[in-house]
Amino acid sequence: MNIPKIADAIGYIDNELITATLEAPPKKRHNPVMKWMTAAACLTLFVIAGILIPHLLKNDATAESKYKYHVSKTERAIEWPWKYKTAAEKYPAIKFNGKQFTVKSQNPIHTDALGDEIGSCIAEGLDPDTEKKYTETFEVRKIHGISEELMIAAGNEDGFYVYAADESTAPDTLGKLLELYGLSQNIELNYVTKCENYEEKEELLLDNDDEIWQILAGRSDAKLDNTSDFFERENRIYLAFTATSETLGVYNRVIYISEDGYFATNILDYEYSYFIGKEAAGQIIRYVQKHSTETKSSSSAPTISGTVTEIGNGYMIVDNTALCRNPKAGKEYKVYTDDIRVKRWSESGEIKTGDLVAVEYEGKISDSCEITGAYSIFTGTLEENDILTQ
Amino acid sequence: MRRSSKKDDFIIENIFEEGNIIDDKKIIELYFERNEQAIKETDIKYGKLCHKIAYNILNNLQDSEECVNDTYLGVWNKIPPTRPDNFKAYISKIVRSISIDKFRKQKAKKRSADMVMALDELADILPDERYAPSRNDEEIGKSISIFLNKQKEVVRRVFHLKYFYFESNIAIAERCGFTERKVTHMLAHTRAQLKEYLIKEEIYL
Repeated sequence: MNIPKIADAIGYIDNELITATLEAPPKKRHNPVMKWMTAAACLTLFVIAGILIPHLLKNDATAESKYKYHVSKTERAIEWPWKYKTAAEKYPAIKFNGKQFTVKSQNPIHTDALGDEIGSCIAEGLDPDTEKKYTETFEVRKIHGISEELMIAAGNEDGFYVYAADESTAPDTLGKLLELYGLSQNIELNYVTKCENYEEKEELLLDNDDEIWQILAGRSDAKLDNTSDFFERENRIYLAFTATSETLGVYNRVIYISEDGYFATNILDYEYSYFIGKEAAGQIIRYVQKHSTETKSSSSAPTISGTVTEIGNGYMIVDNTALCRNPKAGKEYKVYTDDIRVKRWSESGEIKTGDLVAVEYEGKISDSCEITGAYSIFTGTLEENDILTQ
Repeated sequence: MRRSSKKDDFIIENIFEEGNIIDDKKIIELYFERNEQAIKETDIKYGKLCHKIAYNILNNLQDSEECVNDTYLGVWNKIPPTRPDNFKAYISKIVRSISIDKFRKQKAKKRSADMVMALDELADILPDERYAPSRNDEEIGKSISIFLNKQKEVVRRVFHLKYFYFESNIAIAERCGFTERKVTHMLAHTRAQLKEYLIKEEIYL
């Protein structure tokens, strides 16, 4: 690979700039409530903390302070053997009704999001190791609320995946975007960040997004803004809603509503803006301000990390003692490995006893620390926070 | 398939490493005295940093280790006569440069996806010699410094962490207290502005 000239040139930037970067203290996400809390309130907090901390320590996600280390992901571009590939990996593109569709997400779609069967297709895949061609018949189903011209679900009894039509252009009005992709039913606008320029001012949680979708539906004639291919954040006040949708095959994308009257989103991979007017945008912003509560960032997938201490038939044991300040606070998790995306790591020997791993899962951890919804695992290194500062 | 590395062992080992950390000036004096303790002190003080930079670029323990050793050797050969004012930046630049050279020779499969992506992003700003004829890296580096000095402190910091230290967006987000999305947008914006600046300065032709 050619190293761009500028990468070498960056090696000659001023020394002061290089060290200043490391000397700046690491920042934690601020909590404005804490910022303004008086000393008296802090004292109260200590009392409350005394009661709550033992409880919080039981919860892996919230007991941040008990960990001195975290598992930092090691990048590994593994080309899995054919037998370990998911259907989406084997067949990244399919043809249906003469149209080419490309897989949108590596995660299978839940069956309750699947609509009627609309046909079948022959998926063709190539094993790069053996150069052998494979074919499989996929059942094609509609996805609830989404036009089959744009997205379909294809797969078999092992799972269905979202495929999006190639070369589909952005709808020319907001109304068509909402309708064709069934946005009001496929995306929940409940986690939102209030921003000014690039600054994130406040993170908010919204219980109900119906009103927002109604306001947007009222501006269905809003035209696609062809003058800009991205949403400029500079000199703007706006809300940024986290847009995650299994049915649309998108994770942690964004929908912006700006004070100057724009709706913008990157859920279709590129950023598109629609001018909904200042009044409608103002209504949405006021509604969010009035009906939301402050929250901490929590849009990442639930994860547990630790050392693999045992690999058994259909499970592995992950012990997080190595991450804890106090080894006595460590816990053992039994992670079920029935999902191929997890199973292939242990079966192939890529993960072995003694490796540090992080496991992403769906659902909840049982009282006996068992995890049934593990869908992703990766190896990493034990890293103290802020190694660069020394 | 790639085999997993044993990077875990070295990180743990280094984290718990302890030593009497001495002043940079004293370390440089040791080099001037040709005292081999200079390398030991450099390793105690900047070993973790060097390994981190090398590993961010190379994604391989053994290669990183070699680069760090080559860095120490390079420093030993350059000091004296060189007397760096800022030893930390000096050693960071050397390990970065050696690691990038090693990356050039690496096979595609070995490379870190994060690093490949970072280089792709940089290629959009200034891909190769053809776009900046008769300009050497040092000159361009100075122009980039001028551009960065005009930016907000946080923008500068995020840019350095990404393209000097090759930290991942997630790690930068954690470190700066931002969301990953914010880091991604901030970097995209800075890259676009930097490209504009280089065009305006007639560096990018």
